[in-house]
Amino acid sequence: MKQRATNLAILLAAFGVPLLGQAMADRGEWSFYTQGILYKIALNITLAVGLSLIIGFAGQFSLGQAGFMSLGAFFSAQFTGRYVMSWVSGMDPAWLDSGEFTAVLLRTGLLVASMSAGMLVAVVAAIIIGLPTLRLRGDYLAIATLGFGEITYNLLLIYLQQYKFDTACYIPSELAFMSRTVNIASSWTVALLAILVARNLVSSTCGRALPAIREDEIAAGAVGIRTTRYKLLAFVVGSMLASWAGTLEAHQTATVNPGSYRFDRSIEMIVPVVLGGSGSLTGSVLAAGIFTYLLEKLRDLPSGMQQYRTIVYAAVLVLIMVLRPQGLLGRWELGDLLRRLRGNGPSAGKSRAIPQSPAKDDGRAAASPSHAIVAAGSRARGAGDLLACEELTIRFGGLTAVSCFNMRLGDGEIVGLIGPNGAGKTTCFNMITGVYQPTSGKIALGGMSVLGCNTARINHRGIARTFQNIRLFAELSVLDNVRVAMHAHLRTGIPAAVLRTAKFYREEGEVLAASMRLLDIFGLRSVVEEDAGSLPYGAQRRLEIARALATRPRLLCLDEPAAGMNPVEKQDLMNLIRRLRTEFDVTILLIEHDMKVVMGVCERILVLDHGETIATGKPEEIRDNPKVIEAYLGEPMKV
Amino acid sequence: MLDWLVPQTIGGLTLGGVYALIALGYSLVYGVLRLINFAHGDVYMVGAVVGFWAARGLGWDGTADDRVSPLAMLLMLWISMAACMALGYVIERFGYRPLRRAPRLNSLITAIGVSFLLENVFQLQGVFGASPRTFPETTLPSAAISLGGFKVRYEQIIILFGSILFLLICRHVILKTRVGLGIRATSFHHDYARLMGVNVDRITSMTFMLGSALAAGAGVAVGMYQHQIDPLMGVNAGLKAFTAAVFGGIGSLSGAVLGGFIMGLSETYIGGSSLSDFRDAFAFGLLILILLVRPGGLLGSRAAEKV
Repeated sequence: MKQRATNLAILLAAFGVPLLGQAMADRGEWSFYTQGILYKIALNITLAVGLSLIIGFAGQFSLGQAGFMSLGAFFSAQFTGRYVMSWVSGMDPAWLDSGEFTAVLLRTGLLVASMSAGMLVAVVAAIIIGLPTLRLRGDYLAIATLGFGEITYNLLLIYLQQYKFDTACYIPSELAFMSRTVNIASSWTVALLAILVARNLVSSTCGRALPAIREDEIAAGAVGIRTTRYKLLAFVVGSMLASWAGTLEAHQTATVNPGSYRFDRSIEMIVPVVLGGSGSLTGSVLAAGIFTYLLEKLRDLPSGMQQYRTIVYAAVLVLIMVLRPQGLLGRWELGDLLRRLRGNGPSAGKSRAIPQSPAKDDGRAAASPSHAIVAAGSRARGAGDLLACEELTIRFGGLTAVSCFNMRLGDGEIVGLIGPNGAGKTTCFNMITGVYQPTSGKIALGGMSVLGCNTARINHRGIARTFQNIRLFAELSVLDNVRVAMHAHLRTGIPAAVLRTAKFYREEGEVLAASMRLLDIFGLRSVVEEDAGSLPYGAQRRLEIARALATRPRLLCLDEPAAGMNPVEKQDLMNLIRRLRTEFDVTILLIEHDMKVVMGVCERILVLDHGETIATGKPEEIRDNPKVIEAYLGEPMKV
Repeated sequence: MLDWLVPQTIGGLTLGGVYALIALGYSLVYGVLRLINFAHGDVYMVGAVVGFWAARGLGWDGTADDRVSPLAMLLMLWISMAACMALGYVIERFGYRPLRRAPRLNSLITAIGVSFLLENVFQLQGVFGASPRTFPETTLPSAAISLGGFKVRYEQIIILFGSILFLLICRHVILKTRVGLGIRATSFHHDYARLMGVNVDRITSMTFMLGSALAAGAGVAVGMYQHQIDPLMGVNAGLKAFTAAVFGGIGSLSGAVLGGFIMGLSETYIGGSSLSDFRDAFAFGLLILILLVRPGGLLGSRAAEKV
């Protein structure tokens, strides 16, 4: 397959190019100065890739990456000083330093071991910091990592002062990999591997969970993405890369100086990521390279100008942010750039694998087993009701938003939930889908309690929803909005995505075909490459339903799907809802204000008012129910 | 024990008052813009430097021997506050306002850029210079006075009461004036505030000016207390004050004040004990601890998100 061949070529390059560079360096093609810059560029690219995952893709802020660098540097230095020293004590230093193959191999092995030692500590620290703070939405990670960076600096410094009577520690020079034999090869291998892993991750169905979380965390949970896990993944990988960079730096300089891993260093790392375009791996990598080079060149300024260096740097930073907030490349990746150069459409960050001819693709999709991804018909049914809510009550402070809500949904029903504004309809949805935890009561899906499950778990169990105020992943393409929702049913995981196995490609193909089929049903085929946020309102509503269906739910909860639609669109929607039930074999629960829609499609209706269920029954019963009329129109006047 | 505790407490309250003044600025700005204004610590530094310049302008000869009168000190404070209000306005108007609709990360980076800019411009020899400089003392007696048997410095009393006075004024502004009402409305929701006729841009500017004036007060106070200022003094103080604001509950004004005093007290207690090396580590450890236990901070609350 062509994709695999490309991948193999990239992988070979990741190992080949650094070795080639090393050979050039060894032949004396580059001056020591040039080598130094090349090494620094590799280091900063590694850091930028890690931060790009955290900031650009997962949308989390970390202000303490330098802390992870210092952990990597310090613990690898300790490891080298304590253990490696004794292992190699019997060996001839001259041999170790010679370019002999086995010596280089041994030293490389020791470097990898020392990187792993630093990485281990950094990863544990990242989990300790990340797990509690990433459960929450907001700036907590930024604040915690800010504190973490300063604590790490303080503790390392205190340790060094108390036990080593110094402000830095050192790697024995015979073990530091500062000699010319390794530095280009090791630093560039790490950098290119980092790029490769990150690229493979973010351009897979699994990896698209990251930008989905960045765009809308609640919606991401509602389509079955375990948000904490993915945020943590990005944070841990980013911190791991930072620790590697720290190890490399320690070995390059043979010194670990905690003072050089403080807040300003963390910021220095963030700058290229933001300037390059924080959602673009290509941008981050390019900016890291260019910035490192320019900053090194600025060092050549006459000494009188030196003091202006940081000032110019800071001013340029502010100017770029104000004038081009999205960064130099925005969300463009290399692939988009190349396609644009070839004149194949202008869109950024979009899939490159969209079949050009719909007809041909349809044939393929129908022939392949990929239908299984969407069609849910074969699923085993539990006995009894699909969904049973018993005595659900929720209070916010003194306000009882919903009290004693009882509802049973049978398989394949279309049920309406209506009531005046503020009656508690959406609150019911939020309890059923795990956004809120009810104060008391029971919720069971197919006879099993889903109480206490988070949104993602509940989605996995078979409930999908749309939102009253549309919550699409606005900056993802229409196609990616649907693709990412199939995420929970993937059989291949992150390792397969990173390694690009054959199975991964097969499954990506299936996901693509299934998504296109879904989008066809919803009449969105012609806009698959558009940003979801740029679609007209009606199309956004339809896309949200398509996205919910992509999770293969048994129960689909629609929150005011007809809101803002014109009469023609409403008629289409009613047809669509009926079609969905038969075609996707789902039960549908519908909140809607438009009585024509409610009465037209629902077989049964529940009416809420002030959190209480005031009526249930068939549409015609509800229409004539005096209590319902009263709730909507007020008490009838007594004559 | 008491001989140790009382002076440490007075020192801690003095430091705490300063932290509270700076922390309020972080909290106010976070309230209206949801932005961690990293340049705020540097505004505090600029406050101290402007105070220094004002003293020179008022005829102080720049040496530690020459002292300034309390009246001159008051004048220095006013000049410095006015200058910092202008600075706060400029930073907000040209650094943050163009980014109001951009991702929040951008304003964060801009804030850091502004912070670097201020630090480095003030390090230029022609501006202030990289090395620390003497800040004038007042003509008040520098010897400690005895207060119930414990030695207290005049400056400590002035700073403690001065900062409490400023905090009360700030409280009055926020709770009892139209501007304060505007700030509270804007903190709640920009669009709702706009619909109610609040000029959100103007209020945001005023919030920055208020915060900057408080920071300037803190800057002059620290200069007067430590007799020495330098262009990087805002880095550490800013981080500590920010920590204090988060600890108390960022966005909550009483939280910022409480956090400031807790930070000041814990710092002097630990600094005055055998664990003094761990002073900074402890402060940031406290920060992480509160995030794990009560993410909203002591007095803050996490608003439930509307779905």
